[in-house]
Amino acid sequence: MNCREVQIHLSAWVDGNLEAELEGSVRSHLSSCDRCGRFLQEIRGLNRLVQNVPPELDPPERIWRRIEARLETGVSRPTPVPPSIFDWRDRLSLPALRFALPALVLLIGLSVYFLYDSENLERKEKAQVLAELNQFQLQVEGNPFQRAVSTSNPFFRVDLEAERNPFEGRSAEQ
Amino acid sequence: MPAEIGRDELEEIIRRVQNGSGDDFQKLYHLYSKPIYNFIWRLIGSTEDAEDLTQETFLKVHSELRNLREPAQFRFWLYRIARNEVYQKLRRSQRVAEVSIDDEDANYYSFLADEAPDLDPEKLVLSRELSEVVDRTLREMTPKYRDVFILAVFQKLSYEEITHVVGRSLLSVKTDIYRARLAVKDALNRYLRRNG
Repeated sequence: MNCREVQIHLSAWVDGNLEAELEGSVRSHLSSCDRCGRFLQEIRGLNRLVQNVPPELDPPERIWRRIEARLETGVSRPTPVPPSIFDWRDRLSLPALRFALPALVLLIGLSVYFLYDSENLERKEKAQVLAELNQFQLQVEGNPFQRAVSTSNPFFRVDLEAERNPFEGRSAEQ
Repeated sequence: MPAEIGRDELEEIIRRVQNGSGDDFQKLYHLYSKPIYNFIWRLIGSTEDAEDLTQETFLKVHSELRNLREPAQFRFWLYRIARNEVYQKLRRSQRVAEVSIDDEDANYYSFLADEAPDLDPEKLVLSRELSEVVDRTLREMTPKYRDVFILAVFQKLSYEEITHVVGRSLLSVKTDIYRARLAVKDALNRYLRRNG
């Protein structure tokens, strides 16, 4: 048995798969061959290293949910399931959505604020216009309570209108 | 076989699934989804594809399990389905290498040194970089060597089981695992030489 053959068997040995009937001759070769002894040490170390890096990944839960969904529909082998609403929770982990969601919340917040603010502004403007109208009415028509009293008497009203005769006013000013 | 379940119990679960038990199919999925997902991921190198193909593998298991006569053969049967799913996917996406899986004459290891320098893994720090070196080496390897190495070293299938998964002789499997091991060892040695 030459070194290459022994090393093939050693490779199987470190995996626990060397045939029992070969073990004796491999051991015998190892006892007299430093090169194969070094090779055995190397591949034992390599096995430990390779098995530890990288760590095994956990399959995402959504795989089972998709399988369940497919089994429920009774479809044994359709095309791969496209992204859909049933696994929206998984899609939230996508980087784009991680940014999109806060942006959406911010947008809604700003819209509500501006909507409220514009309503408030409109209310203020209405109040101001009403106040101005009231003021104007007071200036033009005088105290509505007095007017109510005076207009209840038609004769008095005539007198009042006479008092308001602009020509009279103008002549008085002149 | 997952450590938390005995052979008899597994065979019982398989028989119940064959008789239509959905709960037992879910048990079977939870027992084997992690090794299958990792096996596929190591073959294909993409977690997204690994998800789809794990899904397809278990759907196929569900539809075909009734045809499995010997529950004891379940494990290598499962890996064979997973491996077939991977190669179907690779063929569809035309990402499979031009080299044939059965091309015995191709010299895939011309880059290997005749005498690999000493490797002392005991002194190595298990770093992300090292895992990347291993991953990259496995992905650059022809599937013929890569598949059997992953099945033996990561999935810990027996060489006998691997012969059933890949449909080759024991001698071929044994030799190919040895060659893949040399390639990984050499890649790690080169990495260590570059990085002092």
